Amino acid sequence: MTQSRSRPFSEVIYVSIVYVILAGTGILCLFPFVNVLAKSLSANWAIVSGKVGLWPIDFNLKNIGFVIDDNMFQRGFLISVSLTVVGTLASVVMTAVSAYPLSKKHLPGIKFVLLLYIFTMLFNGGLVPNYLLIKNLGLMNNLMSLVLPALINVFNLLLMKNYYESLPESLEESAKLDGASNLRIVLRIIIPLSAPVFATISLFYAVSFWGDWFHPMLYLNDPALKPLQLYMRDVVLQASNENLLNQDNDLLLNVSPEGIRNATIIVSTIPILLVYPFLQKHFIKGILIGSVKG
Amino acid sequence: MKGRADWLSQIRRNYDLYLLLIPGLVFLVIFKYTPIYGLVIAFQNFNIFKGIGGSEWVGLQQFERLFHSADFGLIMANTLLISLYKIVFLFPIPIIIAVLLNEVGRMWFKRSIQTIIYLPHFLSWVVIAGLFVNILSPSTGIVNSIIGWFGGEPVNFFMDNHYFRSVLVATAGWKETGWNAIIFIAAIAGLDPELYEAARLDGASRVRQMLHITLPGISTTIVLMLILRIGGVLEAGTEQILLMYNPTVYETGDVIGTYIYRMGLTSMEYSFSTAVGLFESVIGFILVIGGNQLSKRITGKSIW
Amino acid sequence: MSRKKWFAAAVMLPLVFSVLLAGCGGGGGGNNEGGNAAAKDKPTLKLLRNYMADDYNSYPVNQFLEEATGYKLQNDMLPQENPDDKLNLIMASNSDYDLVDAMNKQVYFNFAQNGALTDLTPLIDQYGPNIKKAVSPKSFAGVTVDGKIYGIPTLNVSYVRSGLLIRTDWLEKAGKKMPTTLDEFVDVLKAFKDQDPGGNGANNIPMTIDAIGLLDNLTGAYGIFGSWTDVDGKLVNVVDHPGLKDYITFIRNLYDQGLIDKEFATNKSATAAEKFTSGRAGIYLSIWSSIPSFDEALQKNVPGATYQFIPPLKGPNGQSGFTEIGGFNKITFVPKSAKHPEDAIKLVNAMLDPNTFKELFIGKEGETYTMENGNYMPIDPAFFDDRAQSNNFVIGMDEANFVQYWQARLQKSKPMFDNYKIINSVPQDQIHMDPLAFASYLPKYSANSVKLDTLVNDGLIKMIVDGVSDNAIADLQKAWRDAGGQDVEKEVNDWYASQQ
Repeated sequence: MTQSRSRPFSEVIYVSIVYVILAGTGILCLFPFVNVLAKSLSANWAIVSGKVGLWPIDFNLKNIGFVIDDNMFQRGFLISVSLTVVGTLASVVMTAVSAYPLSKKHLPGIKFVLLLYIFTMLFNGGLVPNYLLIKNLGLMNNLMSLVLPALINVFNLLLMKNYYESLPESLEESAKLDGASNLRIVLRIIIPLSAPVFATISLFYAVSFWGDWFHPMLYLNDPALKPLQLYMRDVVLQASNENLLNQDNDLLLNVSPEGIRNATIIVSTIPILLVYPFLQKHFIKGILIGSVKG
Repeated sequence: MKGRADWLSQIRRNYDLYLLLIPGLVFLVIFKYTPIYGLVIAFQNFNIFKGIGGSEWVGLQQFERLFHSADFGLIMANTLLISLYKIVFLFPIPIIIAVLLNEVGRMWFKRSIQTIIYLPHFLSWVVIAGLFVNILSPSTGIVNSIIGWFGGEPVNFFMDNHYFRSVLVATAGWKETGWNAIIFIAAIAGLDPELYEAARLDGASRVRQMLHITLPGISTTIVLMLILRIGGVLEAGTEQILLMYNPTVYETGDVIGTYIYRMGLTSMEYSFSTAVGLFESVIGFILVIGGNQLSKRITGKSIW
Repeated sequence: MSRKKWFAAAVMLPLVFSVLLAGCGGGGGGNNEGGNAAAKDKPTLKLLRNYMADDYNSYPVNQFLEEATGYKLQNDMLPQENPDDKLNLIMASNSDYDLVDAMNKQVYFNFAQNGALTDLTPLIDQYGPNIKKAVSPKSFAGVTVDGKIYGIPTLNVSYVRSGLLIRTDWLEKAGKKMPTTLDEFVDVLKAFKDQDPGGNGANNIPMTIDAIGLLDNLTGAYGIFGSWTDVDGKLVNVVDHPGLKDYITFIRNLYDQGLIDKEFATNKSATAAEKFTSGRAGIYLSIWSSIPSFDEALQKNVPGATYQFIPPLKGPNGQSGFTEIGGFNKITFVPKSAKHPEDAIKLVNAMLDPNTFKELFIGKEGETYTMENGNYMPIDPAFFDDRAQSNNFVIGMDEANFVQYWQARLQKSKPMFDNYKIINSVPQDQIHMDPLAFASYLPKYSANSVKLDTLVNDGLIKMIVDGVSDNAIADLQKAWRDAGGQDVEKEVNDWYASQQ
């Protein structure tokens, strides 16, 4: 969007440096993923002996096939996808609604409510009361135990509020002069202008619902309800966490081979990676505030 | 009196805005403030079978246990140092990356880089720690091979107290930079293109546009992120360190979280772990409040 | 168009979700009623199990158990990480489980003392003839609290689990015999270092280990067997063991001379295994159960590579031997709030019928195993598909027979079985059982032992890397005492004295 025909030499250098830095960062960040991918496509013996770098050795799709074929994987996948979609939709709506009044700091009482939220970012009751709460609400062994307590993430709420605040006030004022109600302003003006922040918090919520293994571990006892990330964590941790000499021999006899572990990482991470490119256009396209204003 | 009437009229005029607060407040009460009574077990010797009502009150004993533990001075210093290094070195990088990405004209490049740099975020520390043990290995690691080409002596990064903190900071940065940049990328996307248009017409160079439009435009986001980040100063990256350290580098790498974990205090020591959590929360809360006031005074920007 | 798709997706997915939810919620309730209607006297029993990789409810053993006992079983599972924390939460909030597995003895004793468990003594008397036959009085003694039995103990196989694997082809190339003393051992390591029989050049590692300070077999040469050793009738922790200084100096010297992997302190279990399987290391501290995970890799990387555990090495004072572990694998109890305590015991009783137990543990002859020379041989893959996880289902062991059954799973890999035999068939006087394996309620020991062991291991690793001195050992002893070691030592010895 900023391409002019005759660029001064200094600008060419500047742009080249930018490209080099970014490309370098990109390569650094790509490396581990390629490594795990290569392992998931390699034979077990090659992984165990540390031979796999960036390219598979003894290329095969057996590991991936084995993982995808697994019953618990498929069930976990279905659960995680539903959980992520429902949780994200509900949370984004809830957060967007709750953040708007908070962006009107001059109104009485708003700062206090804001502090109420921020307080909960730092203080929480801890494991036991939260567990008892979920139990008393009758949400044990229920996927809603993962969605309801996560409906508002205060960090995302602040991002949203911060974004609302950055919108030019003139927009709302002119609408108010036309007699529009606050709700109408939110629906007609604010939301259409908020694509980047909606994309951001959708991504954040989706990633956190998808990646949550701790709460499922706490609130779900039925193995049939295990979401994908908890399943993956179990597979990955089986033998990699502590040194083997402290582990139960009988358990070790049933540990999945390295190839399967890497394949599990790959197939349970790729779905969430696909979300970003999908939302990405909202990060790139600038928002044409001017056009709305006019 | 006038103030109060003004209040009421403001509320009346914006009653619909106040209605919007209700779902959030209900959520807060049920899921955040109902369980918060649990904090009192920091002052008890909590027995889960007796509950809070039946457990013995011990005052500040749990806190004393933390402050009097043998290595408290060392772990506190390590925690603060590692956290501060992470803030000083790692906080600016995502901003720089986001700003640089904004300078890129070619869409395919911009999109690919954006997608790639957030990949490491999705690999757990278990996987990444294993990877870096190999990369930084003195005998077979690539980094030491490079040092070798330049005639240097191999460095055992994971066993050397001079390097260990740098390893922590560098790997953390590498894992989270792309992810943390997303917020700033989105903030830049929210800037009004008209501003750039106008600047170009005035003949402002790319660097000037960056300094005078992009950075000021995302400054509120930067302030927000920095204040929140500072609030977490006592969490220096427990999971990461647990998976990367070993006894030879406890001297520089042992932090509050790892110490408590190693001493077996996280497991079923409900009162003690709550006390430690409360200590971290209070410090964090003070820093967030302080940071907000300071920022308000210096930059005029604040969270509330 | 894309808008339409969006809309469809937005409508469909919550639907899928609610169906899933309904399925789960409804399923649980339906099961109960269905069970009651079908067999009035046999309710559905709810069990809380230890973590395993597969789902208990769909694993073949569960189906077998339901058929053999007539009970419908609903198995829930504790997580792999911090299972005790979760178990505590469940038990503190009135669970309705009928049977619960506890891996950690301390947790069991804690529940019993807090009055959270059903006294099983009368129930076993009334409904448990098989239980009484299968479980020995010695085992029951280990779970008795104030004269009452609150749990069914499941015994572990007692075995030596780790030792030093040596590349026998390297030995041959270096012209050395299998070492039998520490001096010969050092001699072999030096030969491995100087002659580089693997041809690895700069990457040659005479011996690799995890980040572990107490190396099985080598500790035995100094009379140290595990964390607690009986010295003149008293239990002494490693930190106070008279042989510690000599032992750790010995290891330190190996490290100093470059005979032990320079990077061992940073080794993850996978890194050490990597060094051995890629053919770079000549000796590797390993447990027998991880042999199948690297045997194939080693053969691929170094065709013709041979290896085996080194038999016990004799130390300067003629001492030698291995450490044997054992005790309870888990203790299964009935919470006070259980709905069907009597049926729970009836179920356990049915499971411990000798034939049922055998089929539960290793399946049917001809289908999952065959007999060869009195050994149970698994049929691959039926045995490993249907019975590999059977040990997780067991509640109480047929103590007279289970070790023999259990060995069938070792036949999964011949090198594993052979090496298991090597370290487990040394003369009995060279196998030293962990003296605390069957200890009864030792709250301080249970609460602190992991922490103290970590502290000791950390201290030893620092000494291996930085050097051994009387001061360093004194510091370690002091740190150990301050961290609770002193109390534990007293508790452990009070109990030990009461046993003699």
